[in-house]
Amino acid sequence: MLDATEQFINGLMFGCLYALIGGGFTILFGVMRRFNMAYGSTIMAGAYVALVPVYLFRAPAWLMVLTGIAAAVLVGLLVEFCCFRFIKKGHELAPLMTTIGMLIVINEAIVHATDAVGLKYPSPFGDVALELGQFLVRRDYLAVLVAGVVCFTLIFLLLYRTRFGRAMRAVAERPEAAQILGVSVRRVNVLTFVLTSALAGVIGFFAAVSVGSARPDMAFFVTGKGLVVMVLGGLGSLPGAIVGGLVLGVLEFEATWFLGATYRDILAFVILFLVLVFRPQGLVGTRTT
Amino acid sequence: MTDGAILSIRKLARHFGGLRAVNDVSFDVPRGSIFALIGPNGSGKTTLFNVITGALAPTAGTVVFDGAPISGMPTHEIVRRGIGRTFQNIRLFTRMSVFHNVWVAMRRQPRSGNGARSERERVEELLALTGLSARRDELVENLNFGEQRRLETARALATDPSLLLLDEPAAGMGAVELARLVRDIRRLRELGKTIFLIEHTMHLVMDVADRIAVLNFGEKIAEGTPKEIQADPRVIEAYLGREHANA
Amino acid sequence: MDYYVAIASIIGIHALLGLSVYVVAISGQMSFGQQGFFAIGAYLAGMSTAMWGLGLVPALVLGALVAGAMGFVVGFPALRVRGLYLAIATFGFGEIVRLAFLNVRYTENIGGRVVGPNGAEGFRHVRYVYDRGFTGLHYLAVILVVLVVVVILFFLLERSKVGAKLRAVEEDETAAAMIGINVTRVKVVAFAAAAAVAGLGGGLFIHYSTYIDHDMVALPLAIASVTYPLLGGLGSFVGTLLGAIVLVGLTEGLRGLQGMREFVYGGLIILMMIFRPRGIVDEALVLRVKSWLSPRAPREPVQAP
Ligand SMILES: Nc1ncnc2c1ncn2[C@@H]1O[C@H](COP(=O)(O)OP(=O)(O)OP(=O)(O)O)[C@@H](O)[C@H]1O
Ligand SMILES: [Mg+2]
Repeated sequence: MLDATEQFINGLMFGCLYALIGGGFTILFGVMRRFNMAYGSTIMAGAYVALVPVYLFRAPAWLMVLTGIAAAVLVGLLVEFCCFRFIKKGHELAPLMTTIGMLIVINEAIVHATDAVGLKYPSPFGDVALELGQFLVRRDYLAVLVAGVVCFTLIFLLLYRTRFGRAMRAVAERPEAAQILGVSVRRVNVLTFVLTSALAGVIGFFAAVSVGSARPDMAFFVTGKGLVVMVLGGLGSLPGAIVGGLVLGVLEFEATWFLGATYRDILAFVILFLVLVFRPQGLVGTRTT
Repeated sequence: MTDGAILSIRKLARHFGGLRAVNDVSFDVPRGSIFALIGPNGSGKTTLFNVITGALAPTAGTVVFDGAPISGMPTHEIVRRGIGRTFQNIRLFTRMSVFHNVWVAMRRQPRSGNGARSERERVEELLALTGLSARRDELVENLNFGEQRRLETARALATDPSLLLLDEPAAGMGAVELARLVRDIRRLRELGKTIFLIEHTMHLVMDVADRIAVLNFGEKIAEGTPKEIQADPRVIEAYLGREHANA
Repeated sequence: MDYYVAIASIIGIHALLGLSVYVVAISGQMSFGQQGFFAIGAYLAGMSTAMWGLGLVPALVLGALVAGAMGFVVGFPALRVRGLYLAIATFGFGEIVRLAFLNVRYTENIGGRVVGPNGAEGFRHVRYVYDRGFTGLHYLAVILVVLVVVVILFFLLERSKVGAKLRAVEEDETAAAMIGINVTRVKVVAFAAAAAVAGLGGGLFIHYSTYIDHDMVALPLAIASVTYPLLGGLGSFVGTLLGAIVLVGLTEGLRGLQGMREFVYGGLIILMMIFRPRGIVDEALVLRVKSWLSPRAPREPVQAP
């Protein structure tokens, strides 16, 4: 039972990473009402570019994170420009396709630059597990937990304490009304991309740290997780995404423990399917008409 | 229910959260009549149509059509029983041609000997009836507003309804088109259809309708012949405000 | 020669996958899960010939039928949701199938070879076709015959009222219901039919390649199958065929361009969606072609939207 509890704690901590991934997808979806399939690639681009200073000199972790953020923001703006700005009205699935096109392009660019081999990631938080009472806790997971708390605090401050945040929420809730009230929807969209892409930079760094390498299949991995979390949370709800991420983290760690790793992923997608179909408002949401 | 009513609405209500869009409304639409529903903007007219056609479930009350309760049935079932409808905000199939818009709606007819007309012929007939024959191969988006409204009517007629619901058929029409509309509505009645229309254009309503019901804030405030409605102080008040009614 | 036969075979199989997405698309939905039905058809048809001693035709039919039945079972709940929700739900379904095949082990030792779904190893040695002396060219003929049969069915569908009803549902479910269409039924039947077509493609595929594994039915295949109808055009199934020919031809033809291929592919998707969001063969084009072909129709040009 002790081990199950340990898995629970680890799952909760790792779930913070899932929550961040889901959070990024969710903010984008909430504001744009569109799904960004290239977000996983943005995260991956951040993870890879964050390695550049490490190759140049012995860069500290914070510099890696900042580099990752900068790269991800550039990629995010590119995605907004190529995939969203010129889409005609009334084609709600078109951005889905354009972002898939972008995903292919970004992934290919990374494969080109790295010859498709995974790159070893430094482990700035050390490899030795931390003993917390009776439990062994991985330091990088603890770092993920801290990153999750810090990022979400900043995001919520931004959303509820700044003018920009108010504009964003207005656009998310009633885009037409927001426009009438003088909010520039385009500006909000661009700034939303900047915000979520910066978050992608952070996610990319921590995701790569916790698996020990940056790999070209990372985009698919985070996209899969992001989808599940977003759905669990009810598309478009940020608190929902946090809950969804933590739930998924715990579920996966417990499933690995009790069922083995192979069934873990099936479980995630079975849950995704069932929730989408039978509870499209998400685990915590209430049904709206 | 009376033998003369094709549609009976009893204590019908539809609420959206706290908003009582339709509340405790009852009336009968006599078979073979032209019946009009009027009321200020947002008084619940379209909502009432949506409930009748099963697009929205009623909060309370019943709709009886041709002697059978239809509330709670799926829309396509209600349509098959003989209710057709046009939409206030035109909802044609814009990616199909004019012809196909009608053809796709065409109800299958029982094959009755060699006298039966082919489906295509019947589509052409409906297009002729609504004056759209020359436009049959156009995409819908190339039609003007009046033509689009007429195509909506043709499409609704293709389902062979005995009761036709028209939601603001005259909206945005010029004088010539309006005259045509009045003629068309009368012709449809001669063809045995019952017409139930929502309209804001008062002179049209007073001209064609046999009976009128008036909604205000979701409640029925009056019902009667055009003459009675024109003279009813509650109606004048609802439309013009209290001062005018007292003046 | 063999090279061109191989490309043509892949085009034929992918065209079926694309047509499967097309059917769902013209009833207004986007599925990212057709590769799941493709996998079901492949594994089932493969087991039929390699393990159960069935002939090729019954194997293909069985694969298609089971995939279609799965489509019905999945479609009924899944089609309660639409748009993006359905796209994600179907993708979830595809992943469930893929991961299930990653775990299923059901093998027999036949003539010293391990035959049957074997977890991560995949399903090897489905050699029914080649063991009977078929060459690649022969089998290409089989693929094309199946494709032609399906295309004829699509041709009839497009001209039929059922096809028109699908398009009505696609454009406006409320209006479609208001002309007496049972929207749920139309969508579920379309989804099941689409699943059967994908299953047929899968059955053809495993007998072509003699081999399939879970990696081959992952997201990239989903993306490929969606791009054929979306780029080719939603105005007619011809667009999907065109899409499959051009895109598979492109991916293969660009092999020489070492790696630039994906850039071209991705870039093409983006540009198409911006400039022709309903694909090359869109409805306006179809109508224009029809009015050229039919002498009765007026020859006024159809204006672009
Ligand atoms: N689906 C819905 N959800 C929430 N509120 C609705 C819905 N449909 C209608 N309403 C509200 O119900 C009220 C009645 O609307 P309805 O469209 O029936 O009015 P109407 O009489 O047709 O008006 P108009 O003359 O402008 O067409 C309005 O306040 C409207 O906002
Ligand atoms: Mg109205």
